[in-house]
Amino acid sequence: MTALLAAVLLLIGCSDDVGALEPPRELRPVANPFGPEDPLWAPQPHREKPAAIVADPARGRVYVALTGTEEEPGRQIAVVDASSLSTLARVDVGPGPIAMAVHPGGRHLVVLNRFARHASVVDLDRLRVTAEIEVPFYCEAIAFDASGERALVGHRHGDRVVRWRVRAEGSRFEVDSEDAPELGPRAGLSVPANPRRIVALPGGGWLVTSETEMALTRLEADASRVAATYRPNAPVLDVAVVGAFAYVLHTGHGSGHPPADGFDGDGDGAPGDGTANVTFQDVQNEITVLSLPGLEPVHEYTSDSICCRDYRDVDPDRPDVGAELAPRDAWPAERVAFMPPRPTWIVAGAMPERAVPFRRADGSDALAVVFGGSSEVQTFDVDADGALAPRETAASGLHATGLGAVDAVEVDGRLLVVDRLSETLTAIELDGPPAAERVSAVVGDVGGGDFPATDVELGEAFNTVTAPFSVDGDQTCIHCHRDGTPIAKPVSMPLLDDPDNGVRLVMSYRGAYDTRPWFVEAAMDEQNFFPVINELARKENFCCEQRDPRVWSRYPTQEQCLADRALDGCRHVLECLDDPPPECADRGYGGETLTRDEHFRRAARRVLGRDTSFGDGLWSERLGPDGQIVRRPINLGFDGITRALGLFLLSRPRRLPNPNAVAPSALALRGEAIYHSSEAGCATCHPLPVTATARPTVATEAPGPTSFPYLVSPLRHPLTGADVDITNAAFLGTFPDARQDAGGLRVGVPAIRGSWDRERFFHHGAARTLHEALATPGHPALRSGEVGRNEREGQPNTHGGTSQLDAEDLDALVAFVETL
Amino acid sequence: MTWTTSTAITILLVGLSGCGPGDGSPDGSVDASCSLDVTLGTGDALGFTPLSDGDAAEVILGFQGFRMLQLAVRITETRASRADVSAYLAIDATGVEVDQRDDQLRLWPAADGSVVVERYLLFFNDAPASQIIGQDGRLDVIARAGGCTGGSSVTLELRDDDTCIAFDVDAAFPDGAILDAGALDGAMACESP
Repeated sequence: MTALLAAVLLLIGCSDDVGALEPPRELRPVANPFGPEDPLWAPQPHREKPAAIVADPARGRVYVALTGTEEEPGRQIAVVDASSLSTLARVDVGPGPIAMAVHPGGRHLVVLNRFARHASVVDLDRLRVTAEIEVPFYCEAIAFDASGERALVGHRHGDRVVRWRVRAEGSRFEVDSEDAPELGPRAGLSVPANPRRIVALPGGGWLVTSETEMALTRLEADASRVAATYRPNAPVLDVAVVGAFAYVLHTGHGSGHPPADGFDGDGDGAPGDGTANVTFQDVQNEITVLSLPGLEPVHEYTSDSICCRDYRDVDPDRPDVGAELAPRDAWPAERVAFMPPRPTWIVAGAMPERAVPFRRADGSDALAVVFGGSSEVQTFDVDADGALAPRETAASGLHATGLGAVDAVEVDGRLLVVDRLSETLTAIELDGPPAAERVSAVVGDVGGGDFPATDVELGEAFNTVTAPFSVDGDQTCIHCHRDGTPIAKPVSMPLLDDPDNGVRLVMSYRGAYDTRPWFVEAAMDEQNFFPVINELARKENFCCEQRDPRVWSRYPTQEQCLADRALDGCRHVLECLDDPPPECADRGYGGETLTRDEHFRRAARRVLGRDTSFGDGLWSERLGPDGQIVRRPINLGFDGITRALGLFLLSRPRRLPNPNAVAPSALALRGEAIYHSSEAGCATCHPLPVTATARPTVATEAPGPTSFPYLVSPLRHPLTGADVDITNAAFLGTFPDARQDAGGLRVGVPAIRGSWDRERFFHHGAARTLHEALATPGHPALRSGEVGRNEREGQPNTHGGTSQLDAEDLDALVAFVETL
Repeated sequence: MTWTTSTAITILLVGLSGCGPGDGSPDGSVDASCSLDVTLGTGDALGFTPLSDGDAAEVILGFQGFRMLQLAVRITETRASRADVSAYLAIDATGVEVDQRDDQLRLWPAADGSVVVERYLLFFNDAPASQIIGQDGRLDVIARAGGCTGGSSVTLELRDDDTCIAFDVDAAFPDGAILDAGALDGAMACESP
């Protein structure tokens, strides 16, 4: 390695310039370690995974990006007749087409290719690529201004936006980039991480969204500086402009903490997070209306089921019922004051992905919202003050889409929705009531069977369309685990000993196969990671699970009834499924079914079309009468769905090829030596290539699992100084691989590969950057406003020896970690 | 009941790969050239107690309301350090079926040369307590380690004799240091502390 380093240094003249080695045109997919050697593996059908759509009204067409997956990127866009939904042609572009924009002149379509350093320019008359524009890797957002003379392109490689000056005449399409593309990740203006959507404002200026860093940014017309920022404390999923207002889709301001005490989850300087519900009941589906240009909130709308579906929901009509719950779930009456006004509970779908402005037949303004987590579209009327009124509600029914609805465009009064998982387009009449039958057409590949066709695809479906399995229909896995990359948000978790004050950073689950056990507690894997899913549908919500204290405290115990069946009420206790107690019907909350198993299986039939697995990856084993091992598919109840999700996570690592690794800078090469040095010690706990002390697999070797006492200061209670990172005793009893003692939780070693694409680090998210994670307090490499977190209780160098590094060496170490 | 032979075992692996739900009809065979002696029980590597047909097994209420059995699995004839364990429990009277798969469970050496999977938890995530407690269940366990396979089956009486919920996590554990904790369970509440 030393010789190689020396050779490279000689070759590039010890330059620190990024791209001293010319990066390739395209990134190659990361090899998937999950293969036929693993007993859970089964062949999977090829899918196109359509993910984006734009309209070409002049030609009566729409264009659909066939993005593919991280392991198998697509390389085409589909040309589709907007009326018949038939695919007319396909055009070859670059790897992983993910965003598109039609030039206002109407002749050209620009396609951003996620895994390439070029954008493809498609001549829409000839339907072929006639030009390529050099751009950084991972461009995922683009918009033209109304004149077509300017465009803004966002890239997640460097979390920046690049400005284009465009000349389009006839067949010619030329771009002068105002930001030198040869700078790669440093090209353009810095914006919040992973810019995903860009909207050109009619009066000049731009809006840029960030899911990861949870921000909406307004840029000046020349995109030279940030003019305003709105931070909802939730991933900003999309923004749409109607008149003088911007409509922002997000997942709720809360962090799962109490509203007025505990952890300052909303960062306003006061205890609490300002929202009434806690833990996963704090996850919502929301639309905030901002005034332009200042991005000031003027209206806020939330889930129609913010109350009262889950047994723990804060109920403004019954402020005293919170005290009837078990101590851990109880809430004080004062919390009702933090509930939003009931007229704002109008967002009926789950996981709002796209907002599409349109005009109704009468010319009035309206907004269509696509919900990927519940496979629905809801439309809202927009009044002159920007307020929304829903045209459809849960009671009337929303418009149905296919699975994985992720993007949409309005064409002639119809909304054409991209169903990423179903591989279809769904057409919705925007001014009509929800149709009895969904109108759709295949745009991707269903040659291997309609989705889902395998046990892996069952899990993939659940990962996105989780909401029907939740009690309140609100939550999905992808609310927090967006596209595999987590949002940079520390939240409360039920496993905490002090959930009011403790936090856990949302976990990244890219590369889950070879980084087990998962989570910082190092106690869970694909077979037993059900605590999170459990919170979406707790047994207390299903009456005959006999866990609702409000009901079952009125009846004898199971033990008492088994001893004396004649006791009053014992028939309800022992025969609940046949004779539930009357309180079950009168509760006013909870699931419709008497058991959670039936709830899950009913949801599975509705969403997946089946309530048992296919048996190609999920099966049960038992001993037959002759000692045979007999396998059968498993039921898709809670356990089965959990295992399906786990199988999906194993099968699809979804690792993003690292653009920093293909042409590492001299700085990064220098950092590699530091990484492997005994002084820094990084490689000891984060051995390459997995970068975690994980459990070995049939395909990978690894030295773990290993867990350590805290290497950085734990989060402490602001008043008592108690360690609030610790888990509760019940969690330790249920997950025996978790370790905790008087010194605190023993923390597993997370994988640091993929850090280039993430924000915030450590189990509590205290380190906002890699510099903060690696630098000791006061380190000269720290930039303005940064705090060195490589310390524990004042003892530096507990997370690797870095205090001896000068600023440049620490920068080098960071640069190397960003190549992993 | 433990099924093993002293000679190589041929195990017919009956699978349904790629098929829809079925009745377990044969689809092929796998010749396992070595066998494991597998025994279900309680305890750990320092003190393992085998379970016999008809023995009682305590259902524990754990974190977030999860109910589970805490068992141990003893394996002989192996030098492996980890094992994959599949479990299937059926309660005929109520139709409850539980199946679970755990991979790479650590094997702890016992003094007699055997190895033990300690704190093997079997979760009842899909069945209400009324369909579990007081019922008899047949539990099959299949273990794979070091390229060998073995299994064991036992019928257990599922009980919840310890219905006390630990309101205070600092309170003494009610029985045998097994934590029976979690949210208040109206059907299984103990006396107020």
